[in-house]
Amino acid sequence: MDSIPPFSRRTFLKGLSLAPLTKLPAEVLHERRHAPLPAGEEEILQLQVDGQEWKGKVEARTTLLDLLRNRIGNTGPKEVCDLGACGACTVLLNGRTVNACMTLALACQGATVVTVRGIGSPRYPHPLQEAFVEDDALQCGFCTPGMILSAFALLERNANPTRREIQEALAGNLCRCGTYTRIFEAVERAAAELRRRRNK
Amino acid sequence: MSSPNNLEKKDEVFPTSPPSEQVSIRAGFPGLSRMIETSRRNPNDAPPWSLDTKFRIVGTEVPRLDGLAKATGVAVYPSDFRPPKLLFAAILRSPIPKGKVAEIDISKAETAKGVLAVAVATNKGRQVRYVGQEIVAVAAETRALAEDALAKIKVVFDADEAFDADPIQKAKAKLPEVDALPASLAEAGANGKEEAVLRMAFETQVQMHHPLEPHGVTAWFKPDGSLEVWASTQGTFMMQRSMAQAFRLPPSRVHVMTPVMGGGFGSKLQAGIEARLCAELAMEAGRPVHLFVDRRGQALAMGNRPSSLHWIRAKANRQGKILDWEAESYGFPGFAGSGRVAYPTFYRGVRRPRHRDLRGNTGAARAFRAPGHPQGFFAAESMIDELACRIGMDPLEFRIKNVDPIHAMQLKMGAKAFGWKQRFNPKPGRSPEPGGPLRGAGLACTRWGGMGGARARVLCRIHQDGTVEVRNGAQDIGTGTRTVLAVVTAETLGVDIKRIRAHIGDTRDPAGPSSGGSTTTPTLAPAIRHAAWLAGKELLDRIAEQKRLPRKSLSLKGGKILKDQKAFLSFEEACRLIGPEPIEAMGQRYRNWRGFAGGVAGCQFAEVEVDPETGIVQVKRILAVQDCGTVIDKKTTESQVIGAIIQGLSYALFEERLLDAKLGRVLGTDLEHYRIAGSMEMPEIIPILNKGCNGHNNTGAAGIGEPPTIPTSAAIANAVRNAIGARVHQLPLTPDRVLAVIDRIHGGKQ
Repeated sequence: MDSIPPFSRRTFLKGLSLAPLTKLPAEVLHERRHAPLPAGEEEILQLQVDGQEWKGKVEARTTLLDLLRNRIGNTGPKEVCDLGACGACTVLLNGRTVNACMTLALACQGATVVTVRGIGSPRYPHPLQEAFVEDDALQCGFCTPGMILSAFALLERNANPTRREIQEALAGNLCRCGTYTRIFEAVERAAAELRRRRNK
Repeated sequence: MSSPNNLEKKDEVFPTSPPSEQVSIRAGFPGLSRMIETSRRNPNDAPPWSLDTKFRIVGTEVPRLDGLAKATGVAVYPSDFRPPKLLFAAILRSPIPKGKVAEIDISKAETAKGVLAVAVATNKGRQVRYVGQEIVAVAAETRALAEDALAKIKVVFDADEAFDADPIQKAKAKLPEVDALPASLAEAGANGKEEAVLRMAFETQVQMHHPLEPHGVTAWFKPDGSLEVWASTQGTFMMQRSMAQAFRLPPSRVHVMTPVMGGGFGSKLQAGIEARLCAELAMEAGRPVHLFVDRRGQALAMGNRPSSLHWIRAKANRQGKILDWEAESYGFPGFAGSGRVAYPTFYRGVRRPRHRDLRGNTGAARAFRAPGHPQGFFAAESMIDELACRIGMDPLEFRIKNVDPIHAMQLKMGAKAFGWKQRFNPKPGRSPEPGGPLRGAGLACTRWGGMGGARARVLCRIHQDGTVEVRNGAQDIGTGTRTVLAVVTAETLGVDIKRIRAHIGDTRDPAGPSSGGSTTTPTLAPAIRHAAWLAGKELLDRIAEQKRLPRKSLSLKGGKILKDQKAFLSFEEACRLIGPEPIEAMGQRYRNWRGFAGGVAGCQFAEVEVDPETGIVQVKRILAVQDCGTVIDKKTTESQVIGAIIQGLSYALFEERLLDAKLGRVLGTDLEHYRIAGSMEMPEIIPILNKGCNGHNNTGAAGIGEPPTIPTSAAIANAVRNAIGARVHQLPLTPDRVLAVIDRIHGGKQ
């Protein structure tokens, strides 16, 4: 991940005084962390998702992932671990990658959010999306949206990454089918294609 | 046969009448083949592909058909489906490992904000058998409201303290005697005696499936009373049957959809209780309900690969012959399921173990990618390797002496490509640079069945516009089923793959197999070929009728219609003549006849680097030689081999379900504390497809999903043995376990 936004679900959870719980067994701790956050008051939220304005009432406990998938109807980002451990829900928030499951929706007031659907479509795919198909860098495809956005952010700041830099950029994204090595190849292919286009 | 008008020789020619005479075909591998009599072949079947068949698209690199939909985020997974008025459900799970539900009060949940339905899974008086068992499910307007309501449910448990969450300890106490572990490098090395006699124990851990898309369904009852289910499943038709049974509906009134799904690895074969609870909630609420298990529920209740314990006594002579082999094994599948293990009995002298399962109070085991095999192969391949080490024979040579001709061929092929001679450390436990990393190489073999054979059917339609539609209701778990449908159809008709529209994952289409046992492709491919073959023949029938030509003068080759062996019509022109009603043909899956081999074979070579200071194992390189009969699509086949290796590496080095046996609780139920191999741990992976044709049906294709995950952990463990000079007997090969062995044999110093 690039950065943690100023107000994330993680810091919110910390605010609920997790410190005294740290001596409990990990599993019990996990249950507490996973307990539903208290229902809060609603606020009007306005943000831009993949170029489209969205405005609506949102509860304080609603995550950006919940908002995207269940209110806005954009199921590009996937829900896998819901605890910021797998990267399947990665989106770009004001240009930086975040785990949407660890970001509170209300922390995105006025923000620009880009999902995997925002960087390309089946008709006009992004070179990364084309490369993932070309190199068969996916099997079940459930980690793919997150992988592509992490790679997208990498290529934005580094047009010619080394294999090691690609591995590091994707270290927060889990794939269970085992496509990593092909993903590295796809990112390299896309980087070369983007460089070619830029130099044209 | 002449090849007029630039038609290539490899294009298939449709004969004018069905092939009635029985043929014999060449099957096996280039350099290791024989003729197979196909006398058991059904005369109505399409002619079989053989080792001599020259393909135009089969075996080439075809990008998977649904790849772009997945990569652009528009593919709708079952957990993505959002029908109008959708409710979301959550499950309350048992916090105790054993006991009974004494009291249960759901009244406050029923009246909670946003709640429309509550379904009890474990009622008052019913048994609780593990932490995580489903007690109550709630459906509400949002997932958060459903979780709020769960907190309002009061359950009183009558806990039974006499539980056993970790019966492996009991079995360990009963294990026969084993040899003392070597206390020095010299002791661990070759002993130079006439015979090696070893008694050793091996242990493997519980592995969790953790498919990225959770288990679950979105279900609703339509106004006509029929049930619609979008399921993340490995068996659409099994889901249909189970739900029909559970709700006393005829199967025709249950419609299951799985257009794509996010992984299963064996854990999504059965329609779990979560599917039934979801439909119950939907029935009560009168609205669609989305019930997908959260990650903690995944870890506790959605299956696992059971742990195992092995004791093996074996003897080998200096010539590399295994003289004696006796083994006992235990499996620990939780409260239900099977913990059986499989040994590589294709080695001369290796025998199956006497096996016992011991049940305990944890979540039940489910099938996990080659059930029982990685466990048993880790133990037996470690033992085989140790026999070779102790008699001072190269483990590669030792294996070649004891395996069948196919494995021997693959071992030689793999050793050459891997550079075994240069990479095998002749001085195990010693590093060229003092204090530097210890390097080593290891190998192991695999075998699997995966010949397919369920009675699948496939529908093939040729439309007037020249497109070809091919349909089967089975699912794709990530292997590329849709692509297989298209490739086999395009090959059989000789047309461009762009003409093919492949449809899967819908139980209104012809029946297909569950994706288990690496059988989806070998079951479907022959039916696809048969369907396309019949459709192609009907195309010729209709043209003959239209053009008033003798049927015998027409044939179809390379996607073109020939008249008296000369180009006559393009595929498009021909399709225009068929009229508005498409050609429709139903292909069948006939029974297998005896092919070249009863299963698939392979071997893997691993190169590792071990840090003697930290015990951290780094896998540098893995090379696999794997056979799967006819390769339908090279790209997706290689992907499966790579994926199986990565999962095997993850099992070898990282994954381990930790348990607090006193509380009966699983520790690390999230993806942060249960470690799965990530991008930083990736070695170089070289998949070599040992292309052949098994000749047991009209395509000769066999399964590939499971076999390459079997030997990876054993190959890595053997490489670690070669690097550090002694064996680690327990998976995963964590730094502490590796370091303990290094410290013992080096007396605390290098």
